[in-house]
Amino acid sequence: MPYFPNSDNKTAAIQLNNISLTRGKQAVLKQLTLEIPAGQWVALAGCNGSGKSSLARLINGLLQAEQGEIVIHGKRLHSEHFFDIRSQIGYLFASPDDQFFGLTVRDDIAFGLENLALARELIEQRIEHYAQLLGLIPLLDRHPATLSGGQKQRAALAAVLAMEPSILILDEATSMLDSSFRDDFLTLLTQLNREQQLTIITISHDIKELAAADRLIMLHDGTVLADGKPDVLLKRQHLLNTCRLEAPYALQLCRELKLHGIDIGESLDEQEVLSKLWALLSSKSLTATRSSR
Amino acid sequence: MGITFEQVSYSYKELALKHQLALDHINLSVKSSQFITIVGAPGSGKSTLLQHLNGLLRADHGTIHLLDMVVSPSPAKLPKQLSQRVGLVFQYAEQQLFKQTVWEDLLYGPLNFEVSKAEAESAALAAAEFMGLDEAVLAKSPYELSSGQIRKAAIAAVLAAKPEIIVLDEPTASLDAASRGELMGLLHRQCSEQQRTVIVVTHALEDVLPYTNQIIALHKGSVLFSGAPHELMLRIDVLEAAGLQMPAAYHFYFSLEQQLGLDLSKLQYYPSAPQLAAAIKAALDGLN
Amino acid sequence: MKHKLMLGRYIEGYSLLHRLDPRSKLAGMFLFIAAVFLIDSYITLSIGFAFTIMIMILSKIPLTYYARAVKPLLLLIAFITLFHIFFHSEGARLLKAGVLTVYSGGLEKGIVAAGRMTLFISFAAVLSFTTQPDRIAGALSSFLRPLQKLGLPVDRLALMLSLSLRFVPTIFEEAERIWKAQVSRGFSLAGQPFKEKARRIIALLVPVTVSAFRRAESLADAMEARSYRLGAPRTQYRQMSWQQIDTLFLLSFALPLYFISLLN
Repeated sequence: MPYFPNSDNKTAAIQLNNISLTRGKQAVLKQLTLEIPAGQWVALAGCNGSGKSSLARLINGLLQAEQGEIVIHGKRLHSEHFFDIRSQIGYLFASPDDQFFGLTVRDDIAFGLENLALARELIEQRIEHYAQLLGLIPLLDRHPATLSGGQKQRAALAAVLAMEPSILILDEATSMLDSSFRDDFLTLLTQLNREQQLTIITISHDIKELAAADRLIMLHDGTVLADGKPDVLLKRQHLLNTCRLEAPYALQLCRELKLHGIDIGESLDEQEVLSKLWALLSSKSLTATRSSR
Repeated sequence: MGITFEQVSYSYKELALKHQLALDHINLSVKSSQFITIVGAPGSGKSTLLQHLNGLLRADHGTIHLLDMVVSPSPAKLPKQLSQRVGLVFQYAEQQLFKQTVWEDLLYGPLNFEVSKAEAESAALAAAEFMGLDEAVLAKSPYELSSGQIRKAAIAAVLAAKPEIIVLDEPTASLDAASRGELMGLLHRQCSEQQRTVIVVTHALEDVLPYTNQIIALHKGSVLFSGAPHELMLRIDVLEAAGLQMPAAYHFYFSLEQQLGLDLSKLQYYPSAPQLAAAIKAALDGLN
Repeated sequence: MKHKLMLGRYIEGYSLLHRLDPRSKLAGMFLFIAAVFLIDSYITLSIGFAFTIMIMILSKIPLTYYARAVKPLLLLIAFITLFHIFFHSEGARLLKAGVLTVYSGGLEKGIVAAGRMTLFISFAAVLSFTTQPDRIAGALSSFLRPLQKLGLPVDRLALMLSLSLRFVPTIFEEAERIWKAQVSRGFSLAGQPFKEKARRIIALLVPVTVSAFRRAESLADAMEARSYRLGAPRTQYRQMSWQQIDTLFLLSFALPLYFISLLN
C-alpha cells in the first residue's frame, strides 16, 4: 500500500512508473511503481538481490530500465537529460576508496564542481563551506592513503553535498564503516533533511538508519514487500526475516518481557524502553511500600 | 599451551622517514580453544599483531609462543608448518579466491601444505559442510555467489587446511545482520566443537558478545586491556580509546542493575534479551 | 611495496624548486636530457654534475635522499660502466688482467656513461621530489593539448594519467594484501621450475586483476554520478601560473647546454 505522508501540494521529487529491469535472465525489478514526494526521507531495505541497489541506480541513470518511465522533478529521465538530472542528485556509494578521485581531499571535493563547470571562486567557497560542515578543514590537503575509511566517506559526502543536489542517495554508505561514524552521519542527515528539505534515500542494513527515516520501503524479489512507517514495519518479525534484518535489542527485550507477562508494548528505541521499565519499577516499589505498611 | 607474547615489538621500516613503532613491547597471554576478540581503533596495531601470528611479519624483539611452537626474531627460523597450523583470514577474504570453482579453491590450501589428494578432498568437504555450502555452491564459480556465501567459501578455504588456530580480521564486514549472526555462530562452533582457538578482530561487539571469553584491546601498539567482556564494559576509557560503543545489552543492564539488584554472574556475564527479561521478572516479583 | 622506491616520491618542502611552475620543471628536464646526451668527456661531465648539484642544493633536499634514489640502479650503472671499460680500446693502456685489458679511453667512456645515467636519475629525482605527481601530469597534459587538434585524445590520456596516479598505489596495496592472503594459504614459489612459478603466479594475478576491473567499473559509475562527462568543458580548479622565475629557470639551462656543446 503506497504511503504519502506529504500528500499536500508537494510535487513528487521522484516517480517510478511501472519499472521493469532484468540482468541477463534474472528479473531484478518487476513492474515497480513508486512516488517519493520532495523532502521525504526514504529508507530502502531488502536482502541482497532484492533490487534495492538497482532501484537507486535507475534513479540517476546508471542503469536503464527495459520498461516504464522515471520522472525526476517533473522531467522524464532520458539519456539526453542525464547530465541535468544527475547534477541534482547526489549519490554516495559504499566503498570509500572507489569514489575518491582526487589526490587530496580538496581536489576530490573540487572534482564534482569542476564537472559542473562552476567558476573557480565559487568552487573555492563551496570547498570551504562543505569541508567546514563535515569537519574536514584539517584534512583538506591530505592524500587518501593517509585517511581512514570514515574520513574518506566524509570527504565523499562533502564532495557530493558541495554540488548542492536536491536529492541525496546513500547506497549502503556506512556498511564498510563502524558504528561511531554511523551516528554522526545520521545526525547530519537529519539536519540536512529538516533544514534544507533535502530528499533523502538511504539503502541500509542497519536498523538505526532505517528507523531514522520518514518512510521505509522493503523490497523483496524485485517488488515492494512493504511500504510505510519504519516504526511500524520494523516491529514485524516476518518482514525483518525476509529482509535479513535483526530486531534491535530493545525490541527483543520487550518481546521477552511479554513472554513473562510483563507488557510494556513494543519499541525500537532504547531510551523509550528504559523509561517504561523505570516507570514500571517506581510504580511497583510504591505498591511494595504501601502493602508493607 | 595457548598463545603468549613476551615483550614483542615491531616497527615498519619505511624507506627514509621515521620508523613507526607498530607494536610496543606487547605482553599478552591467551588460553587455547577459546574465542578471543581483539579490538582497537585504526592504527592501534591490530593487523600488525595478526600478521605476527602466522609468521607473515617477524618481531624485531620478543618471543611468541603459539601452542608448542616458538617464534623468535630472525635470524631464527620460523617453525615448520606455522602457516598451516595458524590459519589467517584477511578482511574481505573473498578477494583471495581465484579458481574456476569454489571446490577447487577449497582444495588449494590443503594441497599447498602437501597433504594427499584424498585427505585434501575430505578436509575440503568437511569444511564446506561445516560452513553450510552444498554441492551446488561448490560447483559454481566464486563470482556467481552471494556476498554471504562467498565470504563463507573464503573462510572454508582456510578451514580446509585444518589449522589449530584460526585468526580472522573483521570477518563480518559488510554482511547483513542475519549473515553476521550466522557466521559468528559457526566460528563459535569451531571453538566449542572442534577445540580450535578462534581469534577475531572486530569493532562490532554485538556480534561477538554471545560467544567471546576474552577481549584484548590495543591502543597505539600496546595492550590497554585484556580480560572478560563484562570487565571491559566497566572501562569506559578503554571503550573510548578503542573507538567502541557500549552494546545495548550492557547499556540496559547497567541502567537497571541497581534498582533491580541484578547480578551479572547469574546471567553468565552476558545479559542477552531472554536472560535479562527473566532477571527483570524475578526482580519485579521480588518487589511484590 | 609502494614505499620501497625512493624515486617517484614527493617530498614536501618550500624551496625554489618546489614553488616553480611544473611546466618549467618539465621543460627544463627535456632541455637537461638534451644536454646530457651531448656529454662525452670528463670535462663536459663535470659541467653537467656542477649544474645538477646546484639544482639539488636549490631543492633544499638532503643529498642523501638523492643517493638513495640512485641506489637501486647501481647494479645497472656498474654493468654499463664495466661494459664500456672492457670494450673500448682507445687511449693509453692502463692495466692488463689476464685476457682483459683496460685502456684510458675505455675508462673515460665507462665513467662518462655511469655519470650520464646518474645525472638522468638525479634530475628525475629532483622533478619527482619537488613536484606532486598530479602536477607533473597536468604539465604533460598542457604540453600535449595542441595535439588534440591532430586527433590525439588528450582528455582521455589526461584522465588515464590522473586516475593511475591516484589508484596505482591503492592497487599495489591490495595486491600486497592478496599476496599475503595466498602466502597464508601456503602459496610459495620457492624451489620451483620457471614454468611452475609462472603457473602459480595466477593465484595472484587473477584476484588482483578481477579486483582492478571491479574497481574500474565502480569508479566509472562514481564519476558519472558526479556529473563527469568526457570531453565536456570543465573548470580547472588547480591552476598553474608561470612566473618570471620560471622563465629564468628555463633560461638557466642554456648555460650547461652551451658549454657542453662547445666542449663536445
